[in-house]
Amino acid sequence: MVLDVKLNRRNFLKIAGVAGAATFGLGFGEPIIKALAQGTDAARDEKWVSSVCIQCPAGCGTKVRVVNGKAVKIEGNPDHPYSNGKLCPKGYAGLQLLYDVDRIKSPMKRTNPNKGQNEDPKFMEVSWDEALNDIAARLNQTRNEGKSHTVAFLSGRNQGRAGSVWTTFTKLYGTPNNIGHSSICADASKKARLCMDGTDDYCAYDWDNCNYVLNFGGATLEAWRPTNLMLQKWAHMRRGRPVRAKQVMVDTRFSTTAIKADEWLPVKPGTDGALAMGISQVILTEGLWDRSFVGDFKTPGRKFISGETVANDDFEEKWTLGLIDYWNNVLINFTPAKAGEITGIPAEQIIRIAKEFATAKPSIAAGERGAGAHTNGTYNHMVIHGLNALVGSMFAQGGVMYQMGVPYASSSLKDDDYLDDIAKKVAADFKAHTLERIDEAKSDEWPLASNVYQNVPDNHAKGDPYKLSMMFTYYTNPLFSNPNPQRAWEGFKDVFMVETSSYLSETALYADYILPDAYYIERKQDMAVYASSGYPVTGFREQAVKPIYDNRDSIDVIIDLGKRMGGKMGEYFTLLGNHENMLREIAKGFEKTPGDNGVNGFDSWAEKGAWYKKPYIYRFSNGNFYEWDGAGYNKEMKKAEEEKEEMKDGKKVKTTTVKDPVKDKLLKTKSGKFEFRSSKLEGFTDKQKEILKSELKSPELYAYPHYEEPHFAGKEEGFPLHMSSPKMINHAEGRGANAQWLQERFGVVIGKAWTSWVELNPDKAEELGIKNGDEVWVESPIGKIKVMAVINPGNPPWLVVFPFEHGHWNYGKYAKGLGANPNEIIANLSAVISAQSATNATMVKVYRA
Amino acid sequence: MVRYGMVIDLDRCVGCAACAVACKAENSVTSSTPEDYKNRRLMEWNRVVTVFKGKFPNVSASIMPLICNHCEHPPCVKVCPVDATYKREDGLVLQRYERCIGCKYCMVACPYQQRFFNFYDQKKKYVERFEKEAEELKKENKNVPITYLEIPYHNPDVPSRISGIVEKCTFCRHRIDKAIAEGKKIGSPDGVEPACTQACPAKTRTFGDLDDPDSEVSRLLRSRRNYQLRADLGTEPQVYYLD
Ligand code: SF4
Ligand code: SF4
Ligand code: SF4
Repeated sequence: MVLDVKLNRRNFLKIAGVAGAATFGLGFGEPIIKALAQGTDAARDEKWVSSVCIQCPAGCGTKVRVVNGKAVKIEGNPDHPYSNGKLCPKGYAGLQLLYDVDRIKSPMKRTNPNKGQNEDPKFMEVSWDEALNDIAARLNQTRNEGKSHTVAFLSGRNQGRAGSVWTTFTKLYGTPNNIGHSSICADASKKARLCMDGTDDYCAYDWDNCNYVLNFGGATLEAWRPTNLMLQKWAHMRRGRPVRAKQVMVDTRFSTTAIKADEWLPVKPGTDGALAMGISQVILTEGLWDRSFVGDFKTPGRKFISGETVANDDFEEKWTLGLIDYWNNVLINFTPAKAGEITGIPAEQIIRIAKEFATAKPSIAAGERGAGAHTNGTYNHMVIHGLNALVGSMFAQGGVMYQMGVPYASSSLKDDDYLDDIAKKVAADFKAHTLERIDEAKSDEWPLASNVYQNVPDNHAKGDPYKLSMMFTYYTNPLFSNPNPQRAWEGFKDVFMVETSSYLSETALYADYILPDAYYIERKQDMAVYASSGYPVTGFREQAVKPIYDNRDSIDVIIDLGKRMGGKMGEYFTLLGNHENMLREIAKGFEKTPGDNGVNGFDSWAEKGAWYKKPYIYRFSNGNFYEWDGAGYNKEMKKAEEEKEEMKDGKKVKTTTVKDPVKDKLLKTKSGKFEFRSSKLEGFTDKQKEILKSELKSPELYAYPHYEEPHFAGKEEGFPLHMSSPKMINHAEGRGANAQWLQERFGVVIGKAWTSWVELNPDKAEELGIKNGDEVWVESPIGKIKVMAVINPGNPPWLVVFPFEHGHWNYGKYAKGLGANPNEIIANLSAVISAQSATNATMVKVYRA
Repeated sequence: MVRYGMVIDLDRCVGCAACAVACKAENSVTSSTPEDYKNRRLMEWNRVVTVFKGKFPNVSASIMPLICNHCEHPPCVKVCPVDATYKREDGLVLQRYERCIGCKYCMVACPYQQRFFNFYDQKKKYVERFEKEAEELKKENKNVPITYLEIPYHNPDVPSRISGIVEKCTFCRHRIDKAIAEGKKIGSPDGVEPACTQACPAKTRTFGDLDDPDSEVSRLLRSRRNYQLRADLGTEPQVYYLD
């Protein structure tokens, strides 16, 4: 499974001898490969083990160099198509996290029942058996009291089998509360796409063939995942091919991406949708839309005229739906001048960008959290995504697509067969909406949201819909990463908490039990990549070193806990066995579908560290959709009628069904088209519509992409400055503040390290009497925090930038007490529809401390 | 003759600093603490700096990776009183740690500030903190985790340093020497490369023999406008930048 390079003492001496000869005389007493010559026993057991990085969700394949049982280097896996032998800086830091002395070294039990920032948990070491038996007993008791739904599972990096194990555990136990933290990540763009083309996912992008990128708030060079691949593709688009692609960055701050882009559009915060609308209007009025995707006027050569309505009958749409309604209701008067007024970008520039974007094709309109983390974030992303349809980039060469799934074999063991009465009742109640999730995702308030993670503390505190009794956390830190986490500091005091982190996170400090996970280098796991390549890729994490402390892979721990629960649940988990069994089972799928690198089963997958299969199999071109037939995109995806003869009540009945492969596979909306008038939103129940509309300033436009005026916390109260809390390139998603290599160069652009800071525009700083390096208060309606001020000449005067990373109460000696956490002054606002946490929507004032 | 050099394409560089972290990992360079940072004791053989021009809205910035230039005429070598630093025949400017007396003359002489004084004995600095705990665990007959006894992740190919010496980028000489010993090809794109070059996701860096007209570095230097940092100083840096 792993490549063994054994260098025994004899071989070693030979090599050293040759080196000596080759380099002798270059300098007197030259110490030849001194390290190799050191020590009496130079015999080495050396191997490179395949693994997958975990510092961000990208899933880059790595190779871990293990010498005499110690991991001494992490490099990119050349056989993994996201890594290509490379890693972003975070990838290398895995070693320092693995060997962090401050990791939790064995299961811990809290002995101080009081919880709070200043409470010592008085942790006591316990055995795995003792911890798991006690937790199983508590879970069973809660269940027998009819309160199984009050147990919640909060998770973040739910990679590979972790996702399925948690899902099954909650299902069999009987709680709907399997809650991910995607809503404090980037759900706005996903839900925008769901509303328009029916796919609830991030996009994949054909960067290699794209000529023009219009990026709304996706930090390509810092935090947009998969970072490593984004960096590689950026350089490739710059210098790696004959035609250089143009990069236009729409960003509120002078980010690394803005610095390196060909053009930076410094929009006012929350107005990305307005800019995209201005651009959309120009594309239509200039007659630059893609006729093969969008369709055309029946009168050839006719264009849209600003201010003039168009009759639905005059235009024949092709793969879109509702364009004319979109024009008549939304775009008609939204001129570049109007977009300019709102965004601060001059109208002439908007017109030029729109023309370039629509003519330099293939073009991509992309974006992520910068545009999404506002109260209007979902609508912003709908307008942005609409641009891809207008220029015909959906599934086109050089355009956007969706990541294909990995053909894992499915398990013969079905969890549905192991539901007992309690579990069945909870599932039925949840379906009937007589029982809601604690975060109320899927309720009438949030029918499309995947998670409303940030509302859990409030809902629990209010007891609405109920109070939680127990909470498990896996790769998530609600006491740190939530907006206004103070709510969780208070709210979660009375919840029995089980934390699986191997680091003393804020959540761990509230835990009643800590079941420390094995670090990723210490465990086996599968990891399908974050969307980007289109074609399917999945990495394999082999165990490179044994756990250094008494840590266990959480997936095996949950399986173990399931066994100890007894009953049907116990039966299921006993049959499931262990994590490795699951991996061996899914890998059987590769026997039928071997990867391009020859991976055809568990062993070869574990050895090479990646399975992938090129190409992406769908393609829109010249007005039609095609599927890959092995040689080219030759198989047209046409609607076809299928006749079937069936026996019904003893009679032969003929049924005809229409098969629409485009609708089934690509444009998964009700209409099978790309919808500018969303049937998903129009399909809301009256109650759901009423709730949504009550949140909108333009309720009549609820089903359309449009610029919805954003709401800012603190604006009315006179807080004058916008605040952005971005992730830097060295930010390992809230889990890297203890890594020295990352902290030493945390502010690459700003030239600061080992702390946090707030960036101010130079004129604004002067106006406020603040100098570089001064201590300042940053105050919002939520509270104030002290931090160092740094002048960034590139940022606009209306914005301060306060990166998210520090302010840990613990997390090891390096992280503890370092800097401040901007979340502590961010109001808990959410974007409509997606429930994306609107972390860019709090306004502040800054003054000298 | 072989003359190793590097070409850094700033149009490709994305300012990610993967090179800097990979260098620290590869060369077992001392990690800093917040106190070290405050005391300007950061060891960065490889660093990435940003220089702003103008201010909003008329602003631009350049992001630049910096390493030792392995100068043809290295001022650092000239000033060293004990011959600790020297220029190897293949162009590498290297440091003999066992001869270095830590006088810091070379640090002053280097116009690029690419030399770093080692304030700590690496092993001691690390292990000291856990001595007591390790003793206690031993007394209790418990297993002492490896993290208490040594810096487990240090590259065994690169010797750990003692305090009071000066160190700097070696062009990853241990890789070059090993490649020579094993008869492997050296230089980008398909030969052995220094760690930073191999690590860079943007393929910003190209390493190779400047004397070989067919090498990738030579080809790049012929095809694009390039410059050296402060060429006017006469140091003749062997690291070239493309913009
Ligand atoms: S790794 Fe490459 S792209 Fe990143 S900063 Fe270094 S040279 Fe630039
Ligand atoms: S860059 Fe500085 S340390 Fe490197 S060779 Fe030149 S003078 Fe010496
Ligand atoms: S060549 Fe090696 S030692 Fe020099 S900066 Fe690059 S990685 Fe560091």
